[in-house]
Formats: sequence, structure tokens, C-alpha cells
Amino acid sequence: MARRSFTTDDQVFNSVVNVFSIITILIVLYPLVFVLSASFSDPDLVLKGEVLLLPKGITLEPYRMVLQNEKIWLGYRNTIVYTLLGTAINLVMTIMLAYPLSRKDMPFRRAITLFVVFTMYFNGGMIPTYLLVRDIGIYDSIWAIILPVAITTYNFIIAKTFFENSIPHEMYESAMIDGSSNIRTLISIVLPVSSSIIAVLILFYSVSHWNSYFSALIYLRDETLFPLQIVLRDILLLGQTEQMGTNEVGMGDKIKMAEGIKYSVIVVSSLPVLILYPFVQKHFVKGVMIGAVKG
Amino acid sequence: MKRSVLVVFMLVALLFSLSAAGNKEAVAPAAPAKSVLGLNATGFPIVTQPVSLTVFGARDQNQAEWKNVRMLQEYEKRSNVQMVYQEVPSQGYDEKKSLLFASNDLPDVFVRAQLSKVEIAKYGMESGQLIPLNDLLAKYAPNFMAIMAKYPTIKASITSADGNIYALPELDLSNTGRMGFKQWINKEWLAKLQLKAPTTTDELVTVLRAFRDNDPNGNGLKDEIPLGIREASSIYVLGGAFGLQNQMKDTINIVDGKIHFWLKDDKFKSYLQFLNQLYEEKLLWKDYYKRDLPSWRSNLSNALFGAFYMPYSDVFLKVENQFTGYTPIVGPYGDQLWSDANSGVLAVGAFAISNICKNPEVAMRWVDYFYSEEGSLFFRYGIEGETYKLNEQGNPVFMDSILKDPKGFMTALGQINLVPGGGFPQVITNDTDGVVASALTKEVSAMMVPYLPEKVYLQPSFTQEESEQYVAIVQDMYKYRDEAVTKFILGEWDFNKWDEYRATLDKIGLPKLEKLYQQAFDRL
Amino acid sequence: MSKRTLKRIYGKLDLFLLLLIPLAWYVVFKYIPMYGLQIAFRRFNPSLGIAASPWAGMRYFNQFFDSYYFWEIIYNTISLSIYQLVIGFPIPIVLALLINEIQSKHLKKTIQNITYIPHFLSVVVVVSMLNLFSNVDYGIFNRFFGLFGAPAVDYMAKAQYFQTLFVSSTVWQSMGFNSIIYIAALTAIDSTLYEAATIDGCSRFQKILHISLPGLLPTILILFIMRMGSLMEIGFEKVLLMQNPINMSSSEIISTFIYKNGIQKGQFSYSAAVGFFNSIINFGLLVISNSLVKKFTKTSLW
Repeated sequence: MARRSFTTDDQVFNSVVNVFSIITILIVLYPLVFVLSASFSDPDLVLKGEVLLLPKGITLEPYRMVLQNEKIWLGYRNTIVYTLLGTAINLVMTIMLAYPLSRKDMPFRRAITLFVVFTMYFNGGMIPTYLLVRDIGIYDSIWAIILPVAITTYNFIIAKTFFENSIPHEMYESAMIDGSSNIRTLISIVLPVSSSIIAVLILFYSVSHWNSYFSALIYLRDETLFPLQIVLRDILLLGQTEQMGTNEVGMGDKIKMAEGIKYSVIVVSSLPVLILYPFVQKHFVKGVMIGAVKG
Repeated sequence: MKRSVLVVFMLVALLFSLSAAGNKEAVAPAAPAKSVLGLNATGFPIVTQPVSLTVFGARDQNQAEWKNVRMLQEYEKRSNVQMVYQEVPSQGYDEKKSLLFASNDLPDVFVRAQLSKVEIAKYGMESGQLIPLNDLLAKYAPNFMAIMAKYPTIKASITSADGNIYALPELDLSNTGRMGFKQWINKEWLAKLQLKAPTTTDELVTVLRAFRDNDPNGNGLKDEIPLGIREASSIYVLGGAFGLQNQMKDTINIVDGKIHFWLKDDKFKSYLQFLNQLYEEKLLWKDYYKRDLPSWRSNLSNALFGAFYMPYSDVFLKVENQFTGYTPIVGPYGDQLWSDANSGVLAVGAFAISNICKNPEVAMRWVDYFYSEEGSLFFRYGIEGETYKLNEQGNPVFMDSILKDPKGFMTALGQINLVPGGGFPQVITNDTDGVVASALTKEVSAMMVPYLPEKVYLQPSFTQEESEQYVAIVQDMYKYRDEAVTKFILGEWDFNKWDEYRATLDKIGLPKLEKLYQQAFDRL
Repeated sequence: MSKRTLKRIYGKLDLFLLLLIPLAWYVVFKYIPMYGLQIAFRRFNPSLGIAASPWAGMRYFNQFFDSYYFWEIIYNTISLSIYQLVIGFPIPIVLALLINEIQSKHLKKTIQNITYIPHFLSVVVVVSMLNLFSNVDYGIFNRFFGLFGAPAVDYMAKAQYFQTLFVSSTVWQSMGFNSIIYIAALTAIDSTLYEAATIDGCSRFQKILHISLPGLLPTILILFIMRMGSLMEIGFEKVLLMQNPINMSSSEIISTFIYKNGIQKGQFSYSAAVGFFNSIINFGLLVISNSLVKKFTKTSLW
């Protein structure tokens, strides 16, 4: 008798859990699905509020206009360059910093770590940093986008914790007995078992490069260097859709087109990161788990 | 733990001393070397040997890259002055301008510089990054000097508190330029409803109500917007009917040399109540405060506004013939005045020369041409036979290829000159304002000119100290004013908050601001 | 230095070599700009340079403290941070607990993968989605709330909705991603504890309360302290993008204020002073929360 009611409780609990899960999924998913549907729909119907879930009056016209925009293409190209090059530098720099400081036998380890972590909470602010970027002569170049963010301290902490927790100290000792140098140990022993943290770092860094717009706003003057997010900001938030080659249509249509374009711009700009995600997803959950949980 | 903290702080300290030592002592700006060979005092070319200058400025979104602009290319050929353009898009220009001065990495000259009075005081009087132009003007700028001689108020308004001129303005001396906004009304709607253009505020309300209720455009939809005001900052446009002038481009009346901010006046209160009434009755465009330019333009070009305010008809040219102007209306206290008056100076800091410029004389001669009749025509219309022709009356008219460009007139214009967006150091005259002012615009302006204030003043120049105090007050005050005014009009604040609003303005420092203005004004 | 220390250093020379470039980077890009902070106490004159500009003492700090908007900005910053903390901090924990309780493997995977997606959208995209969704005529917010008879409102243009929009969209974007850490910590909890509780006749809910939550506590505390240290630094870019003249009375926070006055209007010394003030508060909050947590538990950031 007691046992039966226990099972019923369990079932009730399960259904409650399932219901909440499904509600959560719907809340997260609906805006995304809506944007996707709206991007394929007749802008007129979107503006009348007739698109609710599925696309109506399917058209590819907004996409055609977006893809004709040279600025978007140029922004795309720049962002890809910044993301690839930037992430590569991030990865190397972060590992160079995190690996030595993860070794428990490293002298001054705590002091150096504190020296690094201190900058998370105290910094010089926008103007001194800008003056520096100018003084070292990287202003208005690709390096102004990449170098000032070459390491993110938060990611360094994750990487350091990962190395500390997943590589046993004995491994280093035996490597030392074999006469292998510390750097050799890093390359031949540590890195091969660290693919998950590398995946995490790649993901974190590349997403932040892909989505960053502020440093470009301050450090870049040359429009041909502008990344995608700046172009997006101009189109999506500052209403500079006049430039989208819509001059030939009447003004009223133009407004509609401008709104319709926004949805497809969102889709076009977000797609690459979303496509990247499933590939690294498996590694990365594991990496975050080991890297982020202290102890 | 303790030891490691110590080590960190020692490292930090070491670093500070290192970076302090490494900081180069500031080098005093070298006096510009007088090295120009073959500078001609008058005529073209300006220099016999080519001279190159770097230029920084804001590019409007309708302008092509400056190095590709037809007029500038032609001018380079004539003058032998080679400009190296480092212009940046208007969007984000403020940031880049500030940072450029902060890092002291200056160009030779600034064009379309958008420098405010505060910036001119800071970078001219205080840091010396902009050089005084007085001597250069006297020697190399006959055209500009002629204008200053003819219009003493212009000279007064661009001279800094130390008596120097650090920046040259954009000037509009045409009749259409004597006021910013002109008032327009849909004459077809008036005719259809058998109404006359309003002459008083009460009649205005009656007309607007009729626009709202009677479907004057006859499409069966209630899509008419009786009164269009473009943005929150233009809300003072009808203030003249309540005796509220717009002196110094601010909420100021000047009577007998006394500066008075009218933000706390009862007349302003009744003006706000009037606007609030228009808003609540859905007569005023409901989105006016949102800075939604795309829908403004769309409403405009679809002729959905009954009455509205615009400087020129260029953006609604296709429906221009539906509209007409009318004389300013009389308010409840018997005032009849058009307050949005210009002093002739459109942009105070359009051009400046930096302290690293080696050939300031060349730069001065370069810019002075645009202050002549001939230069104005060249800047605004380009080259006769190529970009414009003269019509039977002898007025310049653009070629059809520009007027009917499929990409739009403004974009086409941006390929040949820097007129789109304004702000270029130049003079605009009755002969050259036609680039944007149609015949109808000129006609409407003429109708309104008699109702402008007798004298129009520009903001006086502050000393460095006054300028800092000014900034400290206005950055709070404008913010509060804009918020309060919007809330009163939208009805989010009841007018029983009026006393609180007045008290807050005092607390932020309105009386002190008035004093600062008076002090600077008395120096003139 | 003792001989032993020297020997230890010598054995790790190659590791120091590795550190060299990253540490040099920290010196150049993080510490040298700190030197520039002194313009907060000087009347910065670009043509004289930082070191030669005249001292101004506390002038710019006082200008900020005396500003009419001082309290409004402080209030906006703190209330937005706390709102964000109170809503944004527990939700990922709850989500992790929820996911942990899901029996169906399929559903578990689906909910995880879907809740991660929004994290990858840029702030520009998220803010423009907010704009589109808030539209009075066709935005989905108004269509949704219209079902319950609410009048159409432009949510982005109303000061009173700004904070809620900001917080809820941030939660929407980050809850899945932030829950990963907790999910990881939950899987690390010894499963024999649950088995023992089952034998004792605990319900599933009791198990969450008495086993899962205490097991999460160390992780929660560490993340809490780290969060506190950056309490005053709320998504600057997002706030800036969401700002418009009408919601300013609740959307102006310290960092956007610095940006506008410093970078846009060129008041370098003034904005450096405001930034300095902000950093000090941040640092103070970090120290306070760390010592508080340390007092009640044994967890500490350092």
C-alpha cells in the first residue's frame, strides 16, 4: 500500500517536472522560431501581425536584399578574419598562461595568479586604454580589435582549474623522471588529453569575437574594417535601412521592406555561430564541467 | 597569502614607477614653420608647388567617400592643394572626435568638424590644439573678412572669450536660411473641408480637429495625422505664438540686453498645456518623441500630415504641390512671432586648423574660397555644363542625370559635393540655396520673414572656467528639461507638478546658468 | 633568496619563458592603463599629456556627487544589478535542478540543447528582437498580453518596463548556459546519498532540498562572490543599445554615463573620476561579500 502511493507520488512529480520542462522549452524557443518564420514571410503580413508561428506568404525577397548588401558581406568577411585569427591568439596565450600557473610546483604561482586576477576587478577604464592603443600604433587596424582582448581572465581561470583538476601531479613527476622538459610535457602529454577545455576556449572566445561591436566602434575609423555587428547595429537599431538599395520602391513599401529585412538580417548574422555550436557541443559541456567547478 | 599580496603590490608599484618614467614629457607644440614655397596671395592655384594636408571630419551617410567627391577632386586640381581625407562616418563621429583630441593625434585641418562652443573653448583656448585664426583671416581670407565686416553679429558670435577665433562657421545668409522650420499646411484638405488656414491657436485646433474627423484625403481610413512635429527637440516650434523666443538656439528671450530663460514662465506652462491638449485629442503625431525618422519620412511623402513644420520641401517634393505656407498664428496673449530664427550661423565649428599644421596659410586660402559667391556656387552646384546649367532666369539648375538619379537625388548629390547633411564651411546665399530650397520653399519663407524677431543672437562665448560650469549645469538641466517637457505633453505628469518642476530647475542651477550667460553676453 | 628557491626556479625556467608573453600582455594592456587613472585628479589637457596636466584634486568627484542625477544614476545602477542578481542568479540553479530531475533522456537532452541557443546571439540581435517584439502595432509582446486584455504599449519606450525587459531578456539568453556549471556539480554528488535517502523514505522533493541543494552550495557561493564583485558592471553594451530618450530615467547607469560624458562629449577627467568611483565600489563589494561568505561558510575566493 505504502509502496503504491510512493510510486504515484513519483509519477506526479515526474509529470510536474516534464510540464515545467516543456514550458521552458517553449519560452526559449518561441521567439527564435518567430524570427525565423518572420524572415521568410511577406513583410506586409508580419506587420499586420498575422504571422504567429509559421511563415505566411513565403518570400525570399528580404533575403535577396540582405545578400545584395555589400556592407553585410564586407562585415561578414572582417568578422570571420577577426574571429579566426583572434581565437587562435586567444587560445595560445591562454594556455601559455594557464598551464604554468596550474602546476602546483610552480614558484610564485599564487602571486602571479593574483597579479592576473586583480585586473578583473580593477582597470584603467576606456580612455587610458584608448590612449594606449593609439600609442602602441595599432589604432585603426585589425590588431586593435584582436590584441586588447588577447586574454580573458575569466577563461584563464577556467583553463587553469581544468589543468589542475584533470592532470594528476604524478604525471608531471613521471614526465620529469623521463627527462622531458616542461614544455614537451605540455605538448605531448597535457594537450592531447585537454581537447574538451580547448573546445570550451574556442567556443567562448569565438562567440565573443563574433558578437563584439564595441571595440570596433572606438578603435576603428576605416569603414572597410568594420565587423558585422557594427553593420548590424546600423541596420537593426539605427534604422539605416535606406542604404539597402530600396530607393526604387515607394516610401511606404520601403518602411515595410526595412522591417521585413530586419528579421532576415538577424537570421543571416546568427546562423554561423549556431551552426558551429553542435560540433563543439559534446566537448564543451565536459570542459565547462571540469573547468568551472572548483575543487 | 599575505606574502603573495605583498608581491603583487610591489609589482604594481614597480610598474607604476616604470610607466611614469617611460612617459615622455609633453613636447611643447612647435611653432608652425613658415615653409610654403610659391603661395599665391590671390587666385588659383593657391600654391604653385603641390601641398598636401590631412583632413578629419564627419561624412554624412549620403556622401560618397570624400576622395571620390567630384567637386573636391576638381578643387584639388584648381588649387594644387592635395587633401588626404581621413573622414569618418557621422555615426560614431562624436566618439572618434573626442578620442582624437584626447590622444593628441591631430590632422592638419578639420572640415565638417561639428565642433561645439564648449569644444572650441576646450581645444582652442585651453589645450591649444586648435590655433587662433585671426591673423590668418586678416591676411588670407578676404571673402570671410568681407562677410564679417557686413555682419558684425557673426563676428561676435564666433569669437571666443579670449578674443580669438578658433573655428570657422557654416553661414546661411539667404532668406530661406533666416529661419529653421517653416510652417506648412495641406491646402487640398483645407479646400475640401472649406476651411481657411488658421490665424490663431484656437483656429488651429479647430482645423486640426476637422482634419482628424472628416477623412480629408478621402481614402476611407482614419490615417490622417493632423499635426506633425518631427522630434522632441522641435517641440518649441510654435512657442512664438506664446511669446517664447528661441534666442541663442535655446529657451531664451532677450529683452533690453537681459537674458531670460523662460522655462519657468507661466506662458511656457500654458504653451505646454496647449500641446498637451493637442496630444490628448490625438491631434499631435503620437510618435513625435521617439526619433522615428523613417516613419516621419514615410508619413511626409505619403502626405498624411495635415499641418507640419519642415525647413525645406526637398523630402516631400513629390507631394509639394498639395501644401502651402501660412503666416504665424496669434496666440492667447496676442503674440505673433516666428521663433525658430537663425542668426546666419548654421554650424559654429565647421572648420579649424590644428597646431601641427605646417601650412596654415594654405589651409586658410583653401577654405576662404567657399565664403565667396563664386565659391558658394562651385561648392553647392559644381561645374557648369557638367553638373548644372543656368535656366532662362539665370538660376543654376542641376542636370537631369542628378535630379532624376535612380538612387535618389540626395545620394547623387553626395557624389558631386558635400551638401547632404550640411555643416561644411561655406556661405549659402539667395543665389545658391536652391540646391535644397524649391521655389515654393522660398515663397513660404518670404511669407514668414516679417514675423521673425528683430535681432537674433547666437550663444555667447564662455571662458574656460565658465565653460566647465556651463557644462556641469546643462548636462543635467537639458536632460531634466527634455524629460519633464515630454512627460507634461504626453500627460504622464499632471500640471500640479509644475511647482516641483520649477523648483527642480532652480536646484539644478538655472539661475546660475542665466548669470553665466549674462556675464558672457555683457562682454560682447 | 634561498638556494632551494633558486633551484626551484631554475627547474621551471621554461615555464617562466611561457609566462613571459602573457604576463607582458597583462602589464601592457591592463596595468599601464591604470596609470592613466590619475587624470581623474587632474585637469586633463591632451597637449600637455597625462603627467603634465595640472592637478584638480577632488573637483571632478565633487562635480559628480553634486550632480542632480547622481542619486538617480546610483539608484538605477544598483537596483538594476540587484534585480538582475535576484532573478538572474537563482534561475539557472532552478533550471539545473529541474533538468537533473528529468527522467526521459530524450527530453533532458532537448531542453539542454535548446536553452543554450540564445547564449550565442549577439546583444545587437537580442536588443533588436526586443525592439521588434515591443512594437505597438505588431510586436508579439503586445499580441500576447493583448490576449489578456492588456492595452498595447511600446515597452521599449516606457521607463518603468526597462529593467524588467533587460533582466528577463538576459535571463532568457543566459539561463541555459549558466546552468551548465550547476548541472556539472549535481552529477558530481555521490549517488549513494540519494540511495540512502530513498531507503529512508524521502520524497523526491525532500531529496532536492536535503541533498542536491547542499551539494550545490559551494559552487553557488563561489559564483555568488564573483558575481558580487562585478555587481556594478551590468551588461554595459546591452544597456547602451536599449537606451532611448524616453526610458533614460531608468536606463542611465554609471557605465553608460561615463561613456557619454567621456567618449562622446570629451570630458575625460570627469568621466575618469566617475569610473574610479565605480571601481572602488566594485572592489569594496567584492571584499565585503567575500568576507561575509567566509564568515558563514569556509569558502573563499582567495
